[in-house]
Amino acid sequence: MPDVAMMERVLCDPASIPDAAQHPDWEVRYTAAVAIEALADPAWLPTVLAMWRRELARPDYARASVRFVEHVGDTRNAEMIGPLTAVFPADTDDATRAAWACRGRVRQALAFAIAAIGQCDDVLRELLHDRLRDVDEDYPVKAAVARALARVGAAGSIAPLQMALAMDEWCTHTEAALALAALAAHGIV
Amino acid sequence: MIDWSQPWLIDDIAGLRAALLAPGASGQRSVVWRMLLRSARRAPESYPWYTAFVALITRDAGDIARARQVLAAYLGKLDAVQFTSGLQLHFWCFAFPHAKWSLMFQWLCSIGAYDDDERRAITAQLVCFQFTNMHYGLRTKPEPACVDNQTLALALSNALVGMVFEGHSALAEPLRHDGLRRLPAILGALPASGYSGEGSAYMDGVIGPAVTLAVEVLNRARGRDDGLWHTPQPGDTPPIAALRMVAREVLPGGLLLPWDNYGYQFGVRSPLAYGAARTGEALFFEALAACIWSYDIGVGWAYDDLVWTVIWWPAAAAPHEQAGGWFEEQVGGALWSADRQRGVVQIWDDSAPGIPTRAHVNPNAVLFHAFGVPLSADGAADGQGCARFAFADTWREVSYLSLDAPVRYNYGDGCGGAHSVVLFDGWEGLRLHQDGPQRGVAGHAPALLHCDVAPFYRESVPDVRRVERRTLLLGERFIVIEDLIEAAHEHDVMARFVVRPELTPTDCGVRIVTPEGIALQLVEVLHAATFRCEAVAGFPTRPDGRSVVADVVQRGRQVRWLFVALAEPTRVAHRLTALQAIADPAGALDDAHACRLLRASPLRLDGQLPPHLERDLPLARTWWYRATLRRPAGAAWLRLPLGLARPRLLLDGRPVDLAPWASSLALLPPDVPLPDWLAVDAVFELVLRSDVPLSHYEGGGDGTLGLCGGFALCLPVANEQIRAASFADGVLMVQTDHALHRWPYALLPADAATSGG
Repeated sequence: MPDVAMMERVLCDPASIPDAAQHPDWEVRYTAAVAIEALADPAWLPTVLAMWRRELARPDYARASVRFVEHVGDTRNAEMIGPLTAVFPADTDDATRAAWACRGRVRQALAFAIAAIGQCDDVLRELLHDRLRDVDEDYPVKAAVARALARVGAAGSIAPLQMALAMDEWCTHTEAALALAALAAHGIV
Repeated sequence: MIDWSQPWLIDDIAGLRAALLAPGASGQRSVVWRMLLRSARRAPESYPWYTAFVALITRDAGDIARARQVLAAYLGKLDAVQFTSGLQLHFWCFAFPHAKWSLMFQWLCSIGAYDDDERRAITAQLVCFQFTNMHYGLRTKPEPACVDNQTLALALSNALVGMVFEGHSALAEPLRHDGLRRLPAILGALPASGYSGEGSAYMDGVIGPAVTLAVEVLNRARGRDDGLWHTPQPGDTPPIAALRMVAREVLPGGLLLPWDNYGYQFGVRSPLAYGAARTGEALFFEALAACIWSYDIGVGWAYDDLVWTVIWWPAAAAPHEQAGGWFEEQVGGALWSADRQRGVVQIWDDSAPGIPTRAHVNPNAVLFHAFGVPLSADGAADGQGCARFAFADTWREVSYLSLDAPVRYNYGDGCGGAHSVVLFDGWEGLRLHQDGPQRGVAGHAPALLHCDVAPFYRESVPDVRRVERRTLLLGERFIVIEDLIEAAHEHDVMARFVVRPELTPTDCGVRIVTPEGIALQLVEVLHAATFRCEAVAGFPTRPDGRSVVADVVQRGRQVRWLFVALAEPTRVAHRLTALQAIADPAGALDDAHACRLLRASPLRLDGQLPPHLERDLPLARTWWYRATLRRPAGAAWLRLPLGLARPRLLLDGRPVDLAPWASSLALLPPDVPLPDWLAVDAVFELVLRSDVPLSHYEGGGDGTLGLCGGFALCLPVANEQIRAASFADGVLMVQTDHALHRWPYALLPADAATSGG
C-alpha cells in the first residue's frame, strides 16, 4: 500500500506538496500533481517542471513485461474476484515495477495541472510536444497533453497536435481536434 | 455524509428482509432470492457477487464470514491488477466492479461485519485504488465530448465511491466532486431516444444498470426523488429514456435486438425491475416477463444483476394495458401484434463514420421476429471469420487494443452488406467516412413505420434523392415492406435480406424454416421479383453460425419494391414434466450406468432451472434426465431445454448427434427430430445428460446460461403459405393456401421527375 495518509494530507495542505512531489510512492506524486491542478497557481510551475523531468527519468513503461497466473483476459479479469498473481522477469527492480504500475498517471496529472494553470514556458511546452511525438506514449497522456496545449499551445504545437489528430484513438484524436480549434481561435495557425 | 448504520442505496432494508425471509414466500422474486442464497452458501468463491447481499439480508454469521472472505480476495488481487493491460487500457471495466465492492463493503459495515481498524484499512485501500485508477480514467475521457458507456461507468463509479467514503478519506472528495459533476452531464447528453448508439450489449450490460444506480446516487446527492424524470443540465434527456430503450431492446422470447457486433444475446433484469417498480409502465413488466432466470450476466462487469433485481422487484402487479410497439424518431421502431407473437423492427439509428465497431451500419434494416424466435440473422462473424462478408475494403490493423502485437481484422460484418438494407452499385462495404445527416423524415402511425435514409447514402451515391422504407403490420400477421429509391442517374439497386437458415422450397418468393420450426416467407409483389439466394457460412456466430442472403436487384433511376412477409409456426409443443433425474457428481457415468440409475431414481425434475437452483439439491456439475413417451406417427421433434452444456442425448439407448445445435444451444432450445428407426406407436426412452454452470463465470464473459425452459414433444401443425400476391387499383391482395387477404394500400408517392426511370 502506498502512503495513503500522505496522499490525503497533500490534498488538504498545499504546504506538503513539495515533499509529496518528490515522494518515492508514485501514488503520492500523482496526488501532488492533482493538488497543484486544483490550486491552478503559476507559482507551482517550477515544481511541475521538476516533476516532469523526474517522470521522464523513470524506467520505460512502454515495454512492460509481466506474466500472470490465473489471468483470464483483459475485461473478464475485471469481473473476477481473485486470485491473480503477477510474475515479473527476474531482474525487475522496484523502480521498474512502480513504473509499470503507474505508467503515465503522473504525467497525465501534470498535463492537467498545466492546463489549469493556463501558462507555461517554452521548456515545459516542448516537453509536452515530445509526449505527442513519442509513438510509445500511452494515449491517456497524449490526450491530456493535447488538452493542455489547448490552453498553453503556441505555433510550434501545431505539428505535434496534427500528429495526435491522425492517431487512431478517439480520446487523443478528439482532444487534438479541440486543441487545434482552440489555438486557431486565438489566431495560432 | 451517508449513514453507515444503514446499507446505502437500499430504501427499506427492514421491509426487504421481511419480504425475502418470510416463511413460505412465493413468486419469482422468492425463486431468485433462493437461487442467490443457495449459490452464495454452497459456493461463495464461485458466486462471489451474491455473498455480501446474502449476508446483508440474513445477518447470519456464516454468511458474513463468507462475504468477508470474498472481499478479502478482491482486495488481495488489486496489487497484481495494476500490471494488467486490462486495468491500464480498459480501466472503465474495472471502475464499476470496484464501486460495487466499495458499496457492498459499506453494506457489510452496516451490519457490523468489520471493526473500526478493519474498516479504516479497507477504506484506505478501496478509495486509494479508485483515486489512482478510476479517477485517472475518468479524466482521460474528453469532457464534455465523450458520452458513452465507458465514461458513464467511470463517472458513476467516482460519484458512488466518493459519496460512500465522503468524510472518511480526503481522497473521496475529488471522486465525489468530479463524479457528481460529470454524471448528470453524461446522462443528459444521451440522445433524446435514450439510445447511446452502442448496441444492445452496452445499453443492456452497462448503460441501463448504470442509469438505475446513477439515478439513485443523484437522488441522494440532491435530496430529491424524481431523478428518473429529471432533465439534467446540460442536456435534456431524462434517464427514463435510456431505461425505456433497454426495455424496448428485449424481444419477445427474451433475446435482445441484435444490432451490434454481439448479435443476439440474453439481457439483464435489474433495469427492467427498476423501471417496473418506479414507473409501473407495461413496457417494463412485459420485458421482465420475457426474461429467463438461469442466466447470469455481468452488469458493468459485475455479476450482481440478480441482486439488484431482487432489491428493485416491483411490488405492484403488471398493468392491464399492453405496451405494443414503439417508435423513436432518432432510432427506429417496432411493430408487434397484440399477442406479441409476430413482429418486425425497422432501425435507422446513426452509424459512426469510419470503422463500424459496436454499432453496425444498418440504415433502415428490418429484423423479423415471430413466436419468440429470431428470423433475421445479424451480429458478427464467428472466430474463423466470414469470408463472404470479409470485403476487400474493410480490413484494419490497430495497435492500441493490446500491449503486444498489432491486431488485424476485417470489419465487413459491421457494414451495410451484412444487413437487411438497400445497397447501391454492388458496394457491400457500405459505411460512412464523414459526419453528416443520416436520415430524412421518419414517422409512424398505428402499425406503420417509415424513414427516408437518403442522406446516409448521399456520401457514396451523391445523386440519390430518396431511399425510403415503409413497414406495416397488416391484419396482425402480414408484414409489408415498401422500398422507394430515387436518384438522378441510373444505379444497380439491391434490397438485401439476411435471414436464418434453412432455405426451403417454395413456389412463391423465398421461404425459410428455422431449426425451431418457425417459417418465414417473403414475396415481392410489384415485379414478382426473383430472389437471388446464397448460403453464408460463418455469419453470424449465433444462433446458427450461418445465414441465408436473399437479394432482389433492379436497375433504374426509380426503383420500387413491395414485399410481403408471413411468419408461421410449423410445430406445436406438448410439454413434458416430472422427468426422472440423477446427479452425476464426477461427470463420468457411462450411458448404461446412468440409465440404470435413472430408472430407479425417485427424483423428478422439470428441467426449468439447473437442479441445484430449482430445488434444494446438491451442487453437481452433471445431471441426467429420463422420460418414456410414445412415438407418434409422422414427423415429430423433441424440444430440449435451452442452455444445455456438454449434452448427450440417447433415444432407446442410441446416441443422437447434437452437433447441428452446437452454436444455437446458448440462445434457443434445440428441436431434435425423432429418427425414423423409432417405431410408430412404440414407447421409447429419452435420456439426456447436461452439465450446468457452477459459477458466475462459465460463460466466458458473455453471460453464463444454465439449462431452462423444460422439455416438450413437438408435432407438425398446419401453417399458412403465400401462393400469390398482387397490387392493383389501390388494393394489396395476398392469396394464401387458406384465404384471400385484401387491404386497401396506397403506394408511397413517387417523384414525377424520376418515375419511369
